[in-house]
Amino acid sequence: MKHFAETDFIEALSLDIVQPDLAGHLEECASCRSRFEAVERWQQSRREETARAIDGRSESDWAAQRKEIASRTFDSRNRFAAGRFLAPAAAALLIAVLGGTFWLDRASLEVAHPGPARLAATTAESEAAVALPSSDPWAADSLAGWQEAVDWETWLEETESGGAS
Amino acid sequence: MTLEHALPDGRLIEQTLAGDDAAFELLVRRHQKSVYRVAWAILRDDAEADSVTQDTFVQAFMHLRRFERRSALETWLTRIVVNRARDVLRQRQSLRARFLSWSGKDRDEKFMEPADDRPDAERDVLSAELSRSIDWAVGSLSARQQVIFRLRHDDGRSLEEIASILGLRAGTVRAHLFRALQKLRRDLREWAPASLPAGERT
Repeated sequence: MKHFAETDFIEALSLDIVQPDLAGHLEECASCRSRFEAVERWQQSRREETARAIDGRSESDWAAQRKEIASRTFDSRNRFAAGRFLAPAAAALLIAVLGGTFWLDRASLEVAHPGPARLAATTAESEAAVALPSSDPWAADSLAGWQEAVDWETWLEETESGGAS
Repeated sequence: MTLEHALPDGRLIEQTLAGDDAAFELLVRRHQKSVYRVAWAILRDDAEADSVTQDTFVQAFMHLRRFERRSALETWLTRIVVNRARDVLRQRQSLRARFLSWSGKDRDEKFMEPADDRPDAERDVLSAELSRSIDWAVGSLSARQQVIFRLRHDDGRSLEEIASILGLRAGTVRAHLFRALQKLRRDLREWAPASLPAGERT
């Protein structure tokens, strides 16, 4: 007699198909029928365990799970919302910082190594400053404390010249 | 009838999208047991099933706008929970592979030969052995095969339901299951009636 293995029974239960040769054999063979029933019990016990896992949880377990979900859900949303606002702001700030740094670097580079145009302009400005004659030699800073005397000297010259004329 | 039962899922989804947190809590309350059940059937572990259930709802909430409502919300949630549970199974497989390569063992124990004409108590022990053997063998299947096998046997889903959850055709699910069974056949080859000559086994 051809007997069947446990895996044949599992296959029959998995695919919901009991082949005619298996069905016929189970009617005749008590040994295989007993083993088939053992596999059926195994499957039944698996389903009962699953059901117990749900029924065995108390309402407080479910409530705790909901609370945790709510906390995680709304945290995620807040992070998402904050990210939507903060990301452009952070990008703008980064651009500003980078732009500022670049501008400062460029400015300090120009001071250290002025370009030809800037160098020519600076030189011309310096030369102009040196070449400018003082319009009034009596107005020099070094004579600031002598202003009255200077004024008097000026007045004297004017008087003398006026008197001469 | 409470508000929880009065409003259809579609309405609660719209309210959630409009920023009504209470509506989403009602959806969670409505579907948490079925989601947890699938997670537990696949993972058979309270803590992991709890964690995966939470992940499922957080993920659903974050992507609710993308839910096109071509299927029922429960189907969508079940698909998410199955995918999350499959990720956990993959992590487990990786740990299992590392353990096996480290220990050099192919199996953690030897199995007893089944017999039929023994007293009930002993048969119970053998059933427990059979159960452990099958569990071990199922653990060596690919994550997808495990999901299908467990949804079928532990959660009692039909092949058509499994196909709908996984977004596959029933024939494809059947093929996956068949390949899983072939592998189980190899791993459970010890499980054959001991009193029978090898030639008489199928």
